[in-house]
Formats: sequence, structure tokens, C-alpha cells
Amino acid sequence: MKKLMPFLLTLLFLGAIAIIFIALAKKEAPITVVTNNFEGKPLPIKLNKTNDTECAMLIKTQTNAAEVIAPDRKTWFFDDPGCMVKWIQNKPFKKKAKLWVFTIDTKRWIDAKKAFYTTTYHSAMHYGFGAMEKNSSKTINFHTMVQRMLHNQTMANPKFRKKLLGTSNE
Amino acid sequence: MNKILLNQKVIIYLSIETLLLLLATIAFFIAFKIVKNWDINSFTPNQFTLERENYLFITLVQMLLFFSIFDTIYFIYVIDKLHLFIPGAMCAAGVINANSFGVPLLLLKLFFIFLLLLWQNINILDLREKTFPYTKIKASFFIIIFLALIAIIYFDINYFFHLKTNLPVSCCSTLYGQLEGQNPLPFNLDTKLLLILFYLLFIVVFGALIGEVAFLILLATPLFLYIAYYSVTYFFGTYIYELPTHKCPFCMFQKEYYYIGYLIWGSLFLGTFFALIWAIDALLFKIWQKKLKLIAQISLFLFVIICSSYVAFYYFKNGVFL
Amino acid sequence: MIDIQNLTKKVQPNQTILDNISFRVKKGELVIVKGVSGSGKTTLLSILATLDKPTSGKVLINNQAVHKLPDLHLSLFRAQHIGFVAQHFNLIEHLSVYDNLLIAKGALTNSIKEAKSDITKALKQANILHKKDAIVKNLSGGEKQRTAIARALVNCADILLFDEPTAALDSKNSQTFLELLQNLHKMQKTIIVATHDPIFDTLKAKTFIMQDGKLYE
Ligand SMILES: Nc1ncnc2c1ncn2[C@@H]1O[C@H](COP(=O)(O)OP(=O)(O)O)[C@@H](O)[C@H]1O
Ligand SMILES: [Mg+2]
Repeated sequence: MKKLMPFLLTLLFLGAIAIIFIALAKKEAPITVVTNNFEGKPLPIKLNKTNDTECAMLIKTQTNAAEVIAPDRKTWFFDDPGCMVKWIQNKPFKKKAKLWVFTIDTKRWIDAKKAFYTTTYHSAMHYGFGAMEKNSSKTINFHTMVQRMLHNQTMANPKFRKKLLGTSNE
Repeated sequence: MNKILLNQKVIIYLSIETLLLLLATIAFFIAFKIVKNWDINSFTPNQFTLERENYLFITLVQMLLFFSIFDTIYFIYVIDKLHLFIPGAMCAAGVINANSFGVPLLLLKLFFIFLLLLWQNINILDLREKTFPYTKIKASFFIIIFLALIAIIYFDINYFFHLKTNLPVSCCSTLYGQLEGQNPLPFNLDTKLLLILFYLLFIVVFGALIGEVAFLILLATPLFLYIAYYSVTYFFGTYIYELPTHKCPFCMFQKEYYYIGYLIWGSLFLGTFFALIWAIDALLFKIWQKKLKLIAQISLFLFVIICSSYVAFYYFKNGVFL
Repeated sequence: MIDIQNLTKKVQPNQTILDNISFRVKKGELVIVKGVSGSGKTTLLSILATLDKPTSGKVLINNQAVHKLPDLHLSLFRAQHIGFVAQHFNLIEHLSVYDNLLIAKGALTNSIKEAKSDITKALKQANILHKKDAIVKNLSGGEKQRTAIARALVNCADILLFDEPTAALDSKNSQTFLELLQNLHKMQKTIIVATHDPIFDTLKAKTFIMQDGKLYE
């Protein structure tokens, strides 16, 4: 027994290591950030397997999703343009990063700063901003959208929501 | 001036740290001389002076060990109390994560105690012999310990100077709670596998102590410590708080939970540290210390029993698991 | 047995009490160290008794450089090998003779029975058995000294050190002490006596003279 014990315990320990490897192989963890995006182009989002870095939710649809590509080619994902705006505010690469949104009307990735935004869209975090490629009377530009986001003038604010819905009724 | 730095408990804490640094600095100079000049076969005045200073050195490091243990417990107590001053913090978790220096500081402090215990252990082995065989090793080792203390002081200063009372921090539920779809556990484990690993590794470590399989202790104990941390934070903790969403290693230090955190984490660290030191002795010095082994066994057993009994009592009381 | 080489003791950088002393004492030898008060005799004996450490130089007892031992080993060595009778005896005054010996014995024994027989033996050798239950502070000078000698013998030490043993004794008691000393010498103990009393001149023994921290044969 005394001789067998080290052998048995080592086996048990190897068993523990095996469990770790099995667990590691079993399932990929959700993606939060992708490094080495050398092309600098927006990446297709793996739905339900990618976390929004700001609100920590899984991204369920690519429509109206957003991506930030930092100068060092790190890429982050968002389910709502509002989340992206909120997240990037205190980042050192705020000015240099490339921002992308997946438009609702043309269904493709475009530069977020050149996109237009409707204000009452049913967006993932209920801020209301829906990304559009084409300008219209109901859309605002990127700069205005950022300002509204920062001053809490979104659909998520009950008071402002009333105002928004009121004007759209006219 | 930062309001935190005027807090009485913080002042006491930083004073103790200054005192420790002072003790360690004196010890460091003696250690340096020992490394350079120690020669037990010499009968010169310098060597006799060094032999007397060696006793001062030993006493200083022993005081350092004693105060460090006290000081680490006190540190946890202080940051636990500070949550009242920091908006958003509900326990030590928010306070220690209030800036990026907190967690490394705590880990360093624990590692520091481990190093000092290891030192004290070599010291005992050294004085047991008649020829001071490990004195030079001891002194060299202390130089590393001294560097670790410098790092601690660096983190201490940065941590408390960057602790802002006006910036809101997160409470433990957002720090240790789960992101949607995100697994906070290491190695992509789920709770079931985590627990299997927890008990499996406990059996390995405990069995290896009984069977005196030193190399296995050296391998399995760090992994057990790591898994035990997650098991307590993400599983056993929820039974201590009796709330499936309350996942926090710190709240259990509070009065509401009868300060059980001190016992749980204390027994875990005591047990794993002593097991490791026992194994290092056996492998490095070929010395098998019965007492160390016994303390390690009792502590680890106590740790597992306390954790498990929280689950058992919950089930006994409520008939279900969380 | 005892081998001393270049022993120097300084209490301050410029105050030398023992100055480069070398000498040897063989096993079973009786040695007298003579010298006026303040010449450094007590300091020498304290170092030999391992109660004090040298500033430099070798002190080998039974081939062991005793002052190089870690404290715990040193205490053990002292208890097993050295019996020191200090000038003022350093007894515990409010305890009995027997208890003074028991304390000295206690550190080295596990068996009460063995301790008892050793204590009785030592008390007999020092000729103080009849006072074994007396409280030390009620004893005369000579009796105190014999108690101290009994304590030095209780652990069967092979080296006995006496510091000014006759300083507190009248001439009759001094004679008694000389007889006791010769008995101990016959028992093959290694004995060093530090004294300035001329009464020891009558004794057949190896004699050193100590002067200003130096030793002359
Ligand atoms: N610890 C000490 N500090 C300063 N002087 C000391 C110390 N011990 C002894 N001396 C001095 O050393 C000299 C020798 O002392 P001592 O050994 O007691 O001589 P002796 O026993 O021959 O009378 C004396 O002058 C004494 O004052
Ligand atoms: Mg004297």
C-alpha cells in the first residue's frame, strides 16, 4: 500500500490535469476582443459568441452592431452604436481609432463617422440610434449622435423619449 | 490632500509598513555583510562581530514575519472598513479594485508571508546544526525578500495615493459577477468540474502529505490553491452568503458572516504554504519535518470541512441546493 | 582538552581586557590563575565558561570551537561540560539547596529518579547534603559556596571553573575548600581556579600569572 500510494496519487493528479484539458477543449469562451486584425477591416461578428465590451451582453444580431479598431489593430465589438460611443470616450486612442457600424438600410459595414442615425430605432440597449448609410429628414449625423449620447438625450431617458416620440408624431 | 490618506486606519497601516521597512533595511545591511564576509572557520574580530549581528538579523526577520502576518490581516480589515468612504463599494472587493494597484498588492503581501515563512524554516534548520550551514543561503534569500518588500511599499504608496473618494467604483457583484455568456472560471471550467477538481486536488495534496510524496505536493499545491480560490469565490461563497448571485471573496470578512473569511482564507494559506515548505525541505534539504506536515494537514482539512459544511448545512436546512 | 590561541577581549576599541592569550590545559589538570584585582581573571573565566564571547582568537574545548556554536547548542554544551562557581555564587537565594540543584539538573534530564540520585551524589561530593532542605539565604558563606560547587557537579561536568573561591571565606573554611579541591582533582576533573589569595601557593599545581590582560607562566 505504501509503495502504491505515490503511484495512485500521481494518477489522480494526472486525472485533474486531464479534466482541465478536457474543459479547455470543450467550448470556446465568448470573444470580447480580437487582436492582430491586420487588414483593419471590420470583422464578421460570431453571433451569440461575442461580448459587447461596454454592456457585457452577447451580440445577437449584426444589424446596427458596431466595431472599434484601435491603431494597434485590436478590435472590439458592440451591439449598439450608443455603447461604442460611450465606451470610447475615455480611451487614449479615441481620435485615431477606426469606428464602424453595420447599417440597417444597406446592410453593410461603413465608417461610423460618415453614417447617419435615426433616433427612435429599437436598438439593443434602447438608446434609439439606428445606423443608416443614406441621409434623410429623420436622421442626424455622427457628431450630433455623440453629443446626444453624452448628454443623455436618448430613448433610454424617459423624459427625452417623450420629446422624441412627440416630435415624430407631428 | 487625499481624504483617504488622513484616515486613521490608513495612517496606522502605513506607519506599520514604514516600521517594517525600517526593520528590513537594518536586516538587509547585515544580510549583505553576511553574504560578503561570513566564514564560520575564521576567528577574526570581524567574524565574531558578524556572528553577534547574525542573531540581530535573525531576530529582525522573525519580527518582520510576525508583523507581516498581523499587518496583512490588518490590511484586509482596513480596506474592508474603507468601503464606507468609497462611493459604490460595498465591501473590500470594490476598494481593492478601485485602482490597478490593489490586487497585485494583496497578492504580493501573501507571497511575502510565504517567503518569510520559508526563510524562518531554513533558519530553524540552520540553527539545528552546529556549523551554521545555511546562514549564507539565508542571507542571500533575505535580499530577495527585501526586494519584495520594496515592491510592496511601492504598491502601497501607489494604491493609497490613487484611492479616490470621489470616483465611484464597482461593487463586488459587477466585479465577480458574470458577463453574459462569459465564464469567469479558469480553464473554461463549469461549476461541476470546478468542484470535482477541488476535491480531487485536495485528496491528492492531503494524500501526498500522508504518503510524503514531496514532488507531487510541489506540483499539486499551487494548482489546489488556485482552484480553491475560485471554488470559494464562485461556489462556496454563495452558500456563505446564501445568495446564488453573491460571488465575492471579500464580503465574508464582514461581521454579518461572523468574520468567517479570516478562518477560511487563513486556513487555506496556512495549509498550502506549510505543505509547500514541507515539500521544499524534503526535496532540497532531505529533511522531513513532522510538525510542519501535521499543521499543513490540519489546516487543509479544516479548510475543506468549513467550506463543505456551509453547503451541507444549507442543504440540511432548506432541502435544496442553491 | 582546553586549547586557547590568541584570545583577545576588548570591551571598547581602545580598552583591551585580555591581550592575545594562549595556553593549554590537559584533561584532569589543576590550574591556578593568579593576578591582582582588575587583571582580567573573571573575564577569562567567563569566556571559558562560554558566558561571554571573545573579540578574536580560538577557544577549543574538547576540540570544539565552543563560541562558534549556535546559542542552543552552546547552552547544551555549557550544561553538560562546564561547572562554574562564580565569585558571588549566583544562587537563587529564596529557594532551598535541593531546589537550586534541581533547576540546574532539570534542563538535562527526563527522569525524576535519575535527577534525585544525581543531586544527592553531588550534595555528598560537595559535603553539603546535611543542609539540603535549608533556604539558601540562611546559609553561611562557606555553605553557600559548597552549594554552588554541588550545583557545578550535578550534571557531571568535566570542567570546573572557580572565581575567587576563598574571597568570602575565613582561613578555616579556606582550608576546607582546599581539601575539597584536591578531592575534585582526584576525581579527574579539569579545574581552573582564578584567585589572588596566597593560600593557593601551598598547592601543587600548574600556575599562571595574569597581569594587565596578559598571561605569564
Ligand atoms: N563589561 C565591561 N565593560 C568595561 N570594563 C570591563 C568590563 N568587564 C570588565 N571590565 C574591566 O576589565 C578589567 C578586568 O576585569 P576582571 O576580569 O573582572 O578582573 P579580575 O577578575 O581579575 O578582577 C577591569 O578593569 C574591569 O573594570
Ligand atoms: Mg574578578
